[in-house]
Amino acid sequence: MQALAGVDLDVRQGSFTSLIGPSGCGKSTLLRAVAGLEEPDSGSVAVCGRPPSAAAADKQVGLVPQTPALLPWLTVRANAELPQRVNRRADRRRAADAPGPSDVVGVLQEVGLGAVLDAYPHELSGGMQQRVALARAVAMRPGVLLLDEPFSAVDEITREALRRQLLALWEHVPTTVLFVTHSVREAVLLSDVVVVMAGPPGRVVDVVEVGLPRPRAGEHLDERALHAVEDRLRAELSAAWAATHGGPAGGPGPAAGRERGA
Amino acid sequence: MSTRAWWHPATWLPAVVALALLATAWQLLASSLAARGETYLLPLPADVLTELGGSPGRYLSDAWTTLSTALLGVAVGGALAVALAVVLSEVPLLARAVMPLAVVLNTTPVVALAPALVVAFGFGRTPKVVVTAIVVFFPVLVTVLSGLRAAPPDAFAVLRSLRASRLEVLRRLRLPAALPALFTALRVVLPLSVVGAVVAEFVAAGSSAGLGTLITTSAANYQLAPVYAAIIVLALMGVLLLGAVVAVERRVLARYAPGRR
Repeated sequence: MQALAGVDLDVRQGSFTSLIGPSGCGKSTLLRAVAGLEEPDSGSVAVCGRPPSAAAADKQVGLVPQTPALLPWLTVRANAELPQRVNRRADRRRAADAPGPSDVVGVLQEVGLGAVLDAYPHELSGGMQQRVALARAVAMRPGVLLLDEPFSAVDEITREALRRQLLALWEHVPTTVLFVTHSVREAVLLSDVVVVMAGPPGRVVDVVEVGLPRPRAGEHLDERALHAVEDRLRAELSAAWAATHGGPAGGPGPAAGRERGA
Repeated sequence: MSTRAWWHPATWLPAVVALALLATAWQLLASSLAARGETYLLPLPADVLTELGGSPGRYLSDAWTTLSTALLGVAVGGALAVALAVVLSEVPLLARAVMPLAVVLNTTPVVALAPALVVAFGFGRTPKVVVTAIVVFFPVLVTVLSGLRAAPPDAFAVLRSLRASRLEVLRRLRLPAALPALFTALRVVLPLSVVGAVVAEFVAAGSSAGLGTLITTSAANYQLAPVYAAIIVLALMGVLLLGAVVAVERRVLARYAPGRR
């Protein structure tokens, strides 16, 4: 089955880009292609100007999957240090021209896990486990940080805290973020750019610049402007859904081309 | 769910009562048979206990012979099976070629091979260890391979996104994730290995030690008390092996699969 067709996407270096779209529209497949976990049958993907496999070989790809994917037999600290313990050749190669991995313990402390460094994953809540996964990916200072609906399994309050921590980490460890989500509001709150996808097969129907000043919380948040972007995205999504599944609204046609990552 | 401690009477009393009832039934049946002069059908429990108590050294020594054969078989067969499972988990094409055969052999009573293996490997301990190793091999292969394949896909994706080598993925993820499966296999094959060792002793001509040998030579001489005494020792051996593996499993899985306890 064809998962993606006609995805032509250029992600600005250092930007926060969200991918939204209905289930099955290929968001996760696109993310896996950027991570080098899937090879496209045609077209090409570039991460930091190189094929994903080369970027991954240099540990430039930080992946936070839907589940925390922690190893139950390792402590919080050991889990977060996992990227440093495998593929050590990449660290030696990288040391010359790029900043090395951050202090893992420092990142764990930054996400509020300083007190549970020696705990095991089963002793933590779902939100804490996801923070370990986040710290694991960020501490290696990846060129791109890929998050595949990382907050989908936690409650709304935890989710909000996780969003704040993600943004704080992104501020301290600047990287290009690709964030897959089902939540329009989450996409608008977090992103510089929101990519609207439709399918199957997956295609990009629009790329929306959010253009709201940061921080987007508390009194800084311009709710009206936020709602305007949300409404636009919702309209795009329902048009795309109707175009795929048959309905009154017509969606834009697929943009043929190639895939390009950050 | 709360599990009762083993020393709580509600845990062990039913089993003890059942055992006492069985011993009473045995005593009644054996004494009624003895009253009719049919002593060759079933020995009296007292005779079996006298036999055991009379020469405990002999039973201990024979038990050790059988047990060491069984454990050697588990070590050899288990190690080879885990090694092959690792290879098959890395080479899917090979797994598709080998596994149907392994599944068929897993359901075949391989102890039936014992006489042929004794012919092939001659006297001594080797053929017995080989029989036991073969008995152990297929259950361990099938179970551990499924364990190696059951590593959580998201953790696998993370390691692949880091371009961890196959060896690193194996060491960091697949092998630890397969430990529950390994213990499931051990629970099955440790008692099975005793069966393998005993059957090998049955068919190995010229075998001079081991509980299997003791059973065949005593039965050939119409001595039933030693036969039943050996069976009791074998039963105890099986219980001890299972208890040992469960105890080790609890400790290891408490660390490696904390959710499964």
